[in-house]
Amino acid sequence: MSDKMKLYDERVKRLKDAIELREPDRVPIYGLVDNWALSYYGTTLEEALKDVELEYKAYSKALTDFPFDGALASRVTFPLNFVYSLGGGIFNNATETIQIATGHSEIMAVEEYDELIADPMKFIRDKILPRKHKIFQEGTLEEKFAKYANSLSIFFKFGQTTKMLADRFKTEHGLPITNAGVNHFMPGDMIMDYLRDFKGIMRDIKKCPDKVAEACMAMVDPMVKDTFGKMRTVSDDKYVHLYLHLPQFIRAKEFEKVYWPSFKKYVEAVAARGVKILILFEKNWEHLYEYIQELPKGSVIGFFEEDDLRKAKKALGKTMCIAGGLRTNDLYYGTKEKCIEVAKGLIDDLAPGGGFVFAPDKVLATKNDAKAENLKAVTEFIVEYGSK
Amino acid sequence: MNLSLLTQKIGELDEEKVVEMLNDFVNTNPSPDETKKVVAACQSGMSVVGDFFEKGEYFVGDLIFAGELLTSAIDILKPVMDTQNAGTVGSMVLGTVAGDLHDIGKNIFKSMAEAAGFKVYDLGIDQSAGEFVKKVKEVNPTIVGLSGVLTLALESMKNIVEALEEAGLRNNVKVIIGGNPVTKEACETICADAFTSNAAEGVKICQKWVG
Repeated sequence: MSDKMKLYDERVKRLKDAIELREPDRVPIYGLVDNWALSYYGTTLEEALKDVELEYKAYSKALTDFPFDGALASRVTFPLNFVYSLGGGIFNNATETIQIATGHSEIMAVEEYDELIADPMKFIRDKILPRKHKIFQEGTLEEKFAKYANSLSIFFKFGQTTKMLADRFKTEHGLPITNAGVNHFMPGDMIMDYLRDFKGIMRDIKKCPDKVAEACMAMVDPMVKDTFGKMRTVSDDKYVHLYLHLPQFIRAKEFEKVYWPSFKKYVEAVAARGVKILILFEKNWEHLYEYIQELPKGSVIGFFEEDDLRKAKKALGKTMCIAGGLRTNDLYYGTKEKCIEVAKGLIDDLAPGGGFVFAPDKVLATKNDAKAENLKAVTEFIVEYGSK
Repeated sequence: MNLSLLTQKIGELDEEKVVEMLNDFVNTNPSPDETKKVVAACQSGMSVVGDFFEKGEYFVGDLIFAGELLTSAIDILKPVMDTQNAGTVGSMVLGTVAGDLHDIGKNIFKSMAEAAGFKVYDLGIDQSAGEFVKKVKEVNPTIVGLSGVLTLALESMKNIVEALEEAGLRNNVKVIIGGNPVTKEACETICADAFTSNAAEGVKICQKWVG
């Protein structure tokens, strides 16, 4: 076995031990790196979208200059070129990182919940896609099909290239890219992001919570089907990735009604097949611990942004591996010493017994999310200090 | 009209009851003075919402819904309002700073500031220092509010405050920065007068400045 493969297996096992709530040989460090890689390398989102090799160079520098045990993605995480081929979407890349422009995606009416509930796939295919994407709005049927076929080829190419780049990270750097191409928002998030927008869903949660809950539930089976369509085999180095963002905005009782049942059902279905699930619990989830402690044991690595990790570990540590810890603000504005001090405290309090993975508190998206020298100092400190 | 009940119902986000009460009120063909009191009761309802938020009983979704509720309340009252003499407590130029497209927090702050009686000039998202300077020159506000979610917003905020300084406008306005990445340290570096990541608290700070 080559050195790189040995390193790869070590890292996969280190993360697996942590997720399965055992104490690994040392505290794993997860590379929560996204568009930060571009500015760190000295390129831009616009340039990288045109040149896969450049994209790889940028991401491989950002992911291998630091001793990460695993990483979120091998490249720019969203298939923007595919979106552009459909005639645009709610994403904007005129800035240095991918951002969603809010207030543009209320494209479903509240009266349409029943149609969504009756058959989500049919409703989205027949009603929403033609409303959303320009290519379905003009030209003959043949022209629409041709444009759609072109878009699909761009999407498939994105998938193939992403897989190819992950393989290169494995063989060239021994670095697991845990992303298996299954990046999901939960049904409640999808209704917010793509169908009702922010104001719309907040109103629906107050005025017709039953409809929202039913619609979410109706979307679970198609999502599970989609997940295992993309993820044919189960392996220790590939996880399902979930990014959750509605729950931080609503009350616990509302979460219990509209979001939790479908979320729980999806996670249980995936975990039952032996797949690990990486979840980004955005913002603060403290008011929701009593629910998420019921997620399947030893299957989830939960990244927390603004929660007190010590409290999170206490409440959830028997269920899931807790990840996160170092504020991006400290990584950029703080000193090396400050970052190391924070890391030391976290390791002292959270590492014993396992179930802890070190990472920044947020995905590194822009150049101000981390100073490289701070990231380097703190990760190298952990390699040394976090070992048994 | 039971003003304290109206305040309470807005605080509880009971839209149906609020709309019913206001429609009944408008049907009595009230005087501008009576309407003024009702508007004030609605505004007090928004402070109740802010208090619930600060106590952790309400969440961002509640603030958004409250903003919508207040907008519909004012729409119902408009025909009987004396818009000429509405009177504001102060004015502010507000915007999400360059490089950042997030507007949810800004919009919440805006509706709460308006509810508190401020005239708000909302520049929108991704606004440069030049745009802020231009608007401040034009409307001469009491307050400038800079919003952002990404860490890069901090740099843009600094640029904007510097540009206000260079244009000789900094001493005429109070600057408040808001959003996810703002901290005490960031506030000092940026040379803002106040910072907050809580819209309700932000409005209270602004009220103190004009009070």
